[in-house]
Amino acid sequence: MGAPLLSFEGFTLELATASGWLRVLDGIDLRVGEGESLALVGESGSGKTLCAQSVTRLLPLHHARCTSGAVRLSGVDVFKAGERDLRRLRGAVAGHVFQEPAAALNPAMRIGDQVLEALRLHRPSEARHAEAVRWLARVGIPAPEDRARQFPHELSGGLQQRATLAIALAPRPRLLVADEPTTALDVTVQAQVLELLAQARAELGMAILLVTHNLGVVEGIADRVAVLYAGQVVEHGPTADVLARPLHPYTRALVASVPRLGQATDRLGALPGSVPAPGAWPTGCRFQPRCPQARASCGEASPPWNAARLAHGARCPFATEEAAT
Amino acid sequence: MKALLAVEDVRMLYPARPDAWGRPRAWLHAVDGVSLRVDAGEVVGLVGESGCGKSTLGRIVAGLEKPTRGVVRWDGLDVTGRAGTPGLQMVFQDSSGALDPRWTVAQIVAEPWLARGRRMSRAELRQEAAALLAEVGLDEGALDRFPHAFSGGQRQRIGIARALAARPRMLVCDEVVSALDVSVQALVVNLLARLRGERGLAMVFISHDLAVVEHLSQRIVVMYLGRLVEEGPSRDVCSRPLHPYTQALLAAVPEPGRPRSRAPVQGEAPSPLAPPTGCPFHPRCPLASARCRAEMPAWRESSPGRWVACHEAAADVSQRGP
Repeated sequence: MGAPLLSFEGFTLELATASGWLRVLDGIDLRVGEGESLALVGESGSGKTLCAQSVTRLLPLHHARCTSGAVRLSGVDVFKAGERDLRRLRGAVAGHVFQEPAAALNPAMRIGDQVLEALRLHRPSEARHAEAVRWLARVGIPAPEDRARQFPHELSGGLQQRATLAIALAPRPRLLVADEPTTALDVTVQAQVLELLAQARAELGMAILLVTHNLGVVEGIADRVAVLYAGQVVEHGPTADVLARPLHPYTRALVASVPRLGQATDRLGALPGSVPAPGAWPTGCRFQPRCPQARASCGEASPPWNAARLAHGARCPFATEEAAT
Repeated sequence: MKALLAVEDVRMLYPARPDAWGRPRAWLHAVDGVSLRVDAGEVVGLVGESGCGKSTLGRIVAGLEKPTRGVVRWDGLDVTGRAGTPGLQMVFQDSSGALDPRWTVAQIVAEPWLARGRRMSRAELRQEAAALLAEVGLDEGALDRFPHAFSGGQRQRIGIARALAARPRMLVCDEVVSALDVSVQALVVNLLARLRGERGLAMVFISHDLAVVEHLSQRIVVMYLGRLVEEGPSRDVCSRPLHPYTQALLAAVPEPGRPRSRAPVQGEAPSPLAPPTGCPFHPRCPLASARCRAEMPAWRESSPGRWVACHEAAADVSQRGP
């Protein structure tokens, strides 16, 4: 097996703030192979979107720097690569889909032309109007010929998100980075878009990096799940295993917070408080102030990675014993 | 028993596609012939996709819109189109848009008191505001801060605290948790569940997520293209949905460890400007027959307390028996 398509290797990211450089991601270690699918899960402020944006370095260098480790996409160290090399990676190797389709689309350009533009940049030999319309049809847009002539504001949120997906998929990227692609959508449309992602992955053989705050949506899409908290990966393992037998108390809280149908309990498993801001990370385990199972020792030293099960570990020394009870 | 809130055959039309002189060339049927009642202390969930008219209905209930036809009764009194009914408060989806950015939290929470001309000392005001904040899980330090200093979930609680300040008997909650992370959503849902229990608050809880609605509501009302398609006790509607649309909404709920059924329903709701003939759901319905394409199904009681508008659901119910 060669080098993976995408790898975070002890990646540490700092952002420029008014009071100097602030560490926001701390030693991220993750890999995504060709055709593989990984979900990054965490609350707002956990750093998951910054991870996604680092894949093709969408962050400007004067605002973001990598202080140790690296992000490698298709063998290229994206924080050392020049702008020209990056432009070759963006779109062609890794395509992006964002949370707000209305903000991602050009409001003054027809939908068909936006797909055509992606083809022209990355697959000039296929840059024909008919090909753009075919991509709109492939992502399930009804009457694609008519929709291609429309502007983004004439489409519903669900159709807009399908259009951004068509733009991202048209260059046939090897990796699709989907950052909360269904959060702004109705549950019915969310289910359709998730199915579309799974289908596109099967047909095009691409890898997916899915960013979401909802553990409910990863099933059926992701092979593996990585849970982020305060700039660190706190749990990582196969999707079914993480959902059924979470190791880290934080992951358990996230699983419990998803409302389920027919659930007899009166209260959802809620987790008070919020993710500590970068710069205010507590010493020792960063989750310890909110952790229902915290012990005195948790505040002393940063917990090491606990590879409790096969390919499934967590940043908590008590992971297995707590899970067993 | 007299209902706390009764909405009777309400219809809301908006002018659309104005011509060069601003005269409407079409009418958008946002809500069409909807009746709803909420008893004291009862939580009713209002479910549907974007554009189904659930928010419009919520605004009609709160008196923020005057319906084209129909009556809204509060405690037996006609309050159609009158906002500011004492005892009825609204909490909005967009917490940053609903709070004045230049007011401190103390001012925001105390506004309902001052607006009603209540005379209170500064100390008294702060003490009572702090008590309300404590009830929604925020500490006293929040009083002198501005809305931007809070996270979305915290701002949503400030909105709830402000609504509680008016001592309401009922809250209209319009998609109050849909913009929040699931973990924060769970906190707000638990808070609302506690208020329901402790204060005996009635609620109209509007959402597109059936799992959240089932969690909070005793009764669920499902809307599609401005009309009611199903109504019944929460447990029943979620365990034995009658309408194919409700079945599709249930199948779409994302849950860890439950494989999603493939494509519960295709496409999106048609535009309310050009509603389909017959049953409004027929173009997306897996059970649609010739009758569904031609004839609007009647709103009928299939069993006591269970209402549905579907030609095909009848067969299902008789098979299942009482």
